Amino acid sequence: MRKFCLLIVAALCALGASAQGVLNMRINEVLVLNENDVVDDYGVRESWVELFNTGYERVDVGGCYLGVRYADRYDAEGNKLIRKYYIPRNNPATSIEPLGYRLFFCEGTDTKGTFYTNFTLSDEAVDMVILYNANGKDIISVFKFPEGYTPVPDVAWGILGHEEIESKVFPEFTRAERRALRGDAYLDTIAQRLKYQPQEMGKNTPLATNEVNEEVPRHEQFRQKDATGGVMAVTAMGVVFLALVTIFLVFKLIGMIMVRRTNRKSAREGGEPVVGKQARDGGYTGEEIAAIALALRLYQEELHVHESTVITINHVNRMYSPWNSKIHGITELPSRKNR
Amino acid sequence: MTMFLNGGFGAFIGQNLQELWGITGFANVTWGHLVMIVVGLFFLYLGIKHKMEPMLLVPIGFGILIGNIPFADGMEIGVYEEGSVLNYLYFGVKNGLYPPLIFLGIGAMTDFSALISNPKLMTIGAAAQFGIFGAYMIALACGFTAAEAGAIGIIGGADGPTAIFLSSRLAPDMMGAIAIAAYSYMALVPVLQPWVMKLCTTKKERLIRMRPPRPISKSEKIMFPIIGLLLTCFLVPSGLPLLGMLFLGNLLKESGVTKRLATTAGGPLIDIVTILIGLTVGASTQATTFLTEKSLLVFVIGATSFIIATFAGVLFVKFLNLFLKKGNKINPLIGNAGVSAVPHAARISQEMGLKYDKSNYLLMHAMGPNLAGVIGSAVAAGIMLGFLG
Repeated sequence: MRKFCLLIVAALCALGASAQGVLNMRINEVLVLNENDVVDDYGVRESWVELFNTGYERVDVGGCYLGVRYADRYDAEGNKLIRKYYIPRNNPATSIEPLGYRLFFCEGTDTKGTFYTNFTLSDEAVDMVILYNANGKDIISVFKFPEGYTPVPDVAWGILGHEEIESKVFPEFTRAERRALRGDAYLDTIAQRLKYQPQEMGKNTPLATNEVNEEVPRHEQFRQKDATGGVMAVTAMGVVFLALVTIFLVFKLIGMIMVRRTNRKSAREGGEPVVGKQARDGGYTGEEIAAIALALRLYQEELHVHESTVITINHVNRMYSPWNSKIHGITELPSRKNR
Repeated sequence: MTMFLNGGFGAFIGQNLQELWGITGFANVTWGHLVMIVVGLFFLYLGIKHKMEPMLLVPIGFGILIGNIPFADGMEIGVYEEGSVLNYLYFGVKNGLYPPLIFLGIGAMTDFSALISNPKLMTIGAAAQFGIFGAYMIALACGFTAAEAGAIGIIGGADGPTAIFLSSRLAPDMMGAIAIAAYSYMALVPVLQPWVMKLCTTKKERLIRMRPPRPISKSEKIMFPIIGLLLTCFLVPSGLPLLGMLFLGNLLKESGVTKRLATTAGGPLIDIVTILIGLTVGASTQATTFLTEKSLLVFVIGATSFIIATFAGVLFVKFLNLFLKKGNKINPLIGNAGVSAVPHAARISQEMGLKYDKSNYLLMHAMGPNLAGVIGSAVAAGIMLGFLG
């Protein structure tokens, strides 16, 4: 029974983890008019949608839904019409590696395979691409084209920034908002509140990161702001001074405390102040210090001048001990006793 | 015999000798190699004959000879060739491993008493760091990138390990030239500094006698590396590799309970690393990478940075004296010691002091700014690394 409970808990944890994994998926880049971009497995150029796994665990998108919202078609409730494509389960290829990408070609027939959707992007006016959870209702990611968007051949739109920041990019709603917002209003609010909005890409990057802008080295950025180096000189000198003046102040204080302590100790013992301004001799003079230093140097350098030429033989008394007795040494050969 | 007579054997020998000739230094030599070999010999001459920084110039000079023996590429012997023994040794320079170890040894050998007894001398060490930033500005004006300018500027810190550490991070291609310039100018301090000191001071100022330093307790000596580390590295964490090791070495020495470690750090360890750093830095000056217009500019700017640093140090002491009472004044001749170059710069102060007053010993006083210069240049390197790295 206990094992069964553990099994259920483990299964629930696994399900939870799996659900959390799907939430890491993002619609990363979309190309509507593909004239000279990548070809699909059939050698045809189709519009495509790129999904990106922002998490650090493998995510299976099989069972999820990829949808589009038409800009000029409406459903029975008056909301813009959404068409969803069910991503088939049980295809190992739908499992996307951590920080991995997958392309879905929007060719509209739903007969070519897992990664070919039943809708197109190029034939009708589409204003939004949506990724739904396995229940087909909960939204994982929204990619909304800007108002008045007109597709340009071979120019993709993508999201810049979120790949580095990770994953808390889906907006949060209060319960009241959740109740009030329905249909298009809900979708549009999500799209509006997203931290990173789709941008026109300078370069299409299917199955690769969108962050392709060449980074200006940090030192070059600094030089652009401070061409003469004056700011660096003033700032850095300020910091060097600050560091050393702080040490100076701290040790000035410590020095004062130490001098006071030493003199107080000397006074307790009936003597005069030995260090500091009150000290009568004011410490050592330059000559004294030089003489001491010279004496020390001579002592250290010439310590062995005479010794090196003198051979000293000292008599060493070796007291008897069983431990150093040769009789008990292990080198003694065993004597053979004849019976 | 028949083969020999037919000329086959002779041709074989001839071909072998020709191949052998192709891999000898004579076949691959260029004028650049010869120039660098002359430079290496000059370094050896300075180090051995004139005893100028022999601990550094001898390994570097010999390293230059090693690095400029011409050879055919692909033999895996050059310092820049992956898989060669020299390349493995060069790893410590390229990745900034040796400089912190040298700083550990320096810390273990250094007595900071002079600085602790008169902590206001710290400010001179700070002022002299202007040489670094002055050179940085000049290098920028000469068209170097900010990273290269930072690496060149650090020559003004007059601290070889710091220069190697920073240039390995900011401008690895120029590290050889920067290291050679830094060490050369440290050896040339007796040429670069005295005229600046004389130019900036009056005779009266040169005769100023400073108050003798007070005795320092053991507790203060132990507190210094700990407080010094906390204060400097909280302010400039990027200076941690150098400052951390410097203060650790000093604590090993001053704590009195790790004498063996201090002896190793300040003796065999620093000796080994000095040999390796000198040899590999020298070997990294292969003519093909070293003899460029940029290297020449590095040397010119490096010399200028030393001069600026000396000016800054001496003038700052004069400025400081405006606020100090009579009897507490500082002899401006110790201002030059604010550049690191321990202990050569302090020795220059001593010699200059004795020149004008036979009984004015400035060495102990000059050691204060000299050591502050070590800390200051490491802090400056940390700032450069923080901004430009």
